[in-house]
Amino acid sequence: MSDLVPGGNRDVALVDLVDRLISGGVVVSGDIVLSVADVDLVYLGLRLVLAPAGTVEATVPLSRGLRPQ
Amino acid sequence: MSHLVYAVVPAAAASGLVALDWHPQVAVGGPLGLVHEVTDRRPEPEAATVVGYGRRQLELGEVAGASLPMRFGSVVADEAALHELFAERGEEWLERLDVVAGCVELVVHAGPADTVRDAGAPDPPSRRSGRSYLEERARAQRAATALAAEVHDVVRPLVRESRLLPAAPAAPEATRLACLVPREAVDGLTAVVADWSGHRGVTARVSGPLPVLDFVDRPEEETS
Repeated sequence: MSDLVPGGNRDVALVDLVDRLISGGVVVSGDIVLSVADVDLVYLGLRLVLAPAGTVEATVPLSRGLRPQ
Repeated sequence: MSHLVYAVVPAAAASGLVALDWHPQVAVGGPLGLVHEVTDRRPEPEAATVVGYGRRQLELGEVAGASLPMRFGSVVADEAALHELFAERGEEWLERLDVVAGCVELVVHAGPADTVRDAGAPDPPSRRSGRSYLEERARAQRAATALAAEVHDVVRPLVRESRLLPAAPAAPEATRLACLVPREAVDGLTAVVADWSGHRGVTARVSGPLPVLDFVDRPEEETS
């Protein structure tokens, strides 16, 4: 998976992918594995990836409309 | 045991998919197939797991020629449940497979300089008062809406469909337009966006190719 803009940031492109994978796609009526809390954990993980070492926020607003529809 | 579902594909593509190195299974119901993996564990809610799932979906789309990717974490109890899905959704899925055949998703992010941030970035700090903050957000929203229309006009000749995505919380002034793009037009769209952003004096980037996650449903209204 690569950002098509020359010199683009690969980590940023991966965040886009995760954002779409959690928000889009076919929803079936079976058991959706990810609970809301689990989705927030994914985003928390991404912020840890992108933040410089030692600057992880103690209070990250996790519920900002980024939940499965 | 349960079934982690990856995508809907044409049944004719099933034999090519089971040869992939991760050996997915394909449940066939008439003209459709559901690609799945039998598992005794729920997928971990970690970025690496999500990305790996997405990479497999992109591969499925390439090999099958057309696929409708599932939302990450879609699990059904057993094979019978898979076949129930064909009965419930088969007609709709057949129609959408036709639309997305040969395509990938690209997302065009555009906005004033330094506003195009990733979806997961924290909000920038604001030192304004409540009222001026709200006015600033409203102005940013109007600017993003106008920019979205401009981007749509730029890419329209190269896309099959487009969908306006919600603004990333960290960048309310930036617009995100998801585009359903034939594979052969991917380079062309990237070039057109780069050329437009240079002339227009805005920041723009194109991310992808992604599985066609925002085009699995019929559009609410025609956008292209």
